[in-house]
Amino acid sequence: MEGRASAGGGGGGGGGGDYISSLLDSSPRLDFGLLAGGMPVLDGAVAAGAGTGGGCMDKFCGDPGFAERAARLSTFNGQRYAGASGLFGMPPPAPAASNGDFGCGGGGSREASSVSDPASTMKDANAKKRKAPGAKGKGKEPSLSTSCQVGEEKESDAKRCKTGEGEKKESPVKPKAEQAGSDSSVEDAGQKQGKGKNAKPVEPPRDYVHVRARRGQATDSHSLAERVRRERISQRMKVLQDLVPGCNKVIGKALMLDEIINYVQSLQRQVEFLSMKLATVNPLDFSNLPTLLHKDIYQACGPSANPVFSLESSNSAFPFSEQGDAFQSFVPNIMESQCTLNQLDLALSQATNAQYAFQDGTANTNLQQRNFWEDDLQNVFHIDNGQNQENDGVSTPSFHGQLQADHMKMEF
Amino acid sequence: MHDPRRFKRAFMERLLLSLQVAGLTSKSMGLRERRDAVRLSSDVAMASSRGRGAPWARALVARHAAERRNEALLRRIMGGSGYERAAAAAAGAAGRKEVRCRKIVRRSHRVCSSRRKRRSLAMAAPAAASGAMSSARRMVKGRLRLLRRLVPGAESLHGFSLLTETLDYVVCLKTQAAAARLQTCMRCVSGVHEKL
Repeated sequence: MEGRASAGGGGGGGGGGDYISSLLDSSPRLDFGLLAGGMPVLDGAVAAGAGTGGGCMDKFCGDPGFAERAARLSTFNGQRYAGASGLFGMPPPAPAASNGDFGCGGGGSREASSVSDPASTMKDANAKKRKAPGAKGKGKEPSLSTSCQVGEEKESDAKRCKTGEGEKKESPVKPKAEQAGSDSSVEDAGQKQGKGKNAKPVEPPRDYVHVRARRGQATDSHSLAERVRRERISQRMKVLQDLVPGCNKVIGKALMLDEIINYVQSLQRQVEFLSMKLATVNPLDFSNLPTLLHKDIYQACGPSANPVFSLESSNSAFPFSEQGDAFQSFVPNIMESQCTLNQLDLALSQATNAQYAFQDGTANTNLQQRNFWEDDLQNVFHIDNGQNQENDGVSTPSFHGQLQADHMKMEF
Repeated sequence: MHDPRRFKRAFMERLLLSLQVAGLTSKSMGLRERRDAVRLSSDVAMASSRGRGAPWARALVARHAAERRNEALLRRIMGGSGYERAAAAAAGAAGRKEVRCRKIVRRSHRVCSSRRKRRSLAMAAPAAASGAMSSARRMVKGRLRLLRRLVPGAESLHGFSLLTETLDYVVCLKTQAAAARLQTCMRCVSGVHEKL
């Protein structure tokens, strides 16, 4: 468990470009110490921003869930190769299963990419390889180094551990005859068996699945194929279960689908709401782009962060938004949370008075801040944003000044 | 190359670029338009960083391309060729439903029903249980239908592929939400910093 948390923390803590390389090289025993120490710029901003920013940042750094889930997703997608191409190997024991997942998924999918798979016609699995955990795979490697060497077999191992865990699964798809005997006695000796398999070469992926029928089950091709299909589907449901929070308690396809649908809907609503907020905060203040590009990407916020923002950040949103006409169109808009609207209205009345004070200073401070951020971040961030920023930096301050002058004339 | 971060980073870059593009035209936009522009740019960023591999990406962009008023913005963000592709996809999606001609539909129905009959015979499920099973199955089917409506581009998918698409879409939605949240907070924070 703590391995997962720290891996998630490591994933969450990879806020800087320099962290990426460090994360990829070292084990993800990073914890929030790195987070705290490693982002001086951000902490400065946070300190300056008193409670608001601090609250934001804490919530940002805190969520291991997303990286972890994306990792699991990649794990499963790595395993799909094995699933389609034939299964080998034993499921590792259940307690080590979760560790095995990450390690195997990372190692397996990395190796699977190098192995030329005929099964790699699954394009979406290819694309999802991108999401495989870099740090996590490396981090778990020391513990599972031997077992991770054989790519495909480990994939199937990890797959097996998931199948071993499931209750509503039927018989797992049995491997070929050599390994059939030891399948039942899996739960204890997974790792040893993994090591034992090292001598075996990586079997070329088959294009059909060898399935052994269970006792008392029909053996015609249709029911077998159907069993395979059902097993794949339940695998997918498992991955979805891990991805969607709160799905662990429900068992059963219908209920889980219910949860998934609710989650998708809520995510969609969240995205819509957040984009609305993004539109109000400051669409034109692109002098901050270096900051934004740098900070965020590797962190993920928990959904609990949302209500915090809506109350606090909307207050600070206003002084920077330049368009007077935007304010009038607020009221009829459909907003998710009414409280934000009220906050915005309040802030509006305050801000229009205060706007004068900022307008002269804004242009200068934009430029200064941009240079300040850029000095730190230029080396770590590889995008050629120099040109963009310069263009924006040069044009926007003057743009700001002009627009503000116009607005002043219009409004007052 | 196997990095959730890489995906996120690519997404963020594209998002910011497209926001920039959108921002340059938003001088006189009302809030609603701005929100739509933001949403559009974020969707496009997501779809493009995901690549053409997933049908939901295409459908998402096609959905935006279908509305005429987004055309200018989309053109600027994605470039002319990208827009053409999206428009073609949109037209194709609209047209595809008609193209699925009656003959094929009838044939597929026949095959499905026969397969279903055979399957139920082979299963030999006891009659008592079938009542419960069929109601559960009906529930599941209803929910799958909902899911198909929610996930873009998954209209014609069944079973396994539908779940795959959903999974993909969920991950990307999460990225999108997280990125948007970070964006807003970043801007707020930096704005506050400026103020002080």
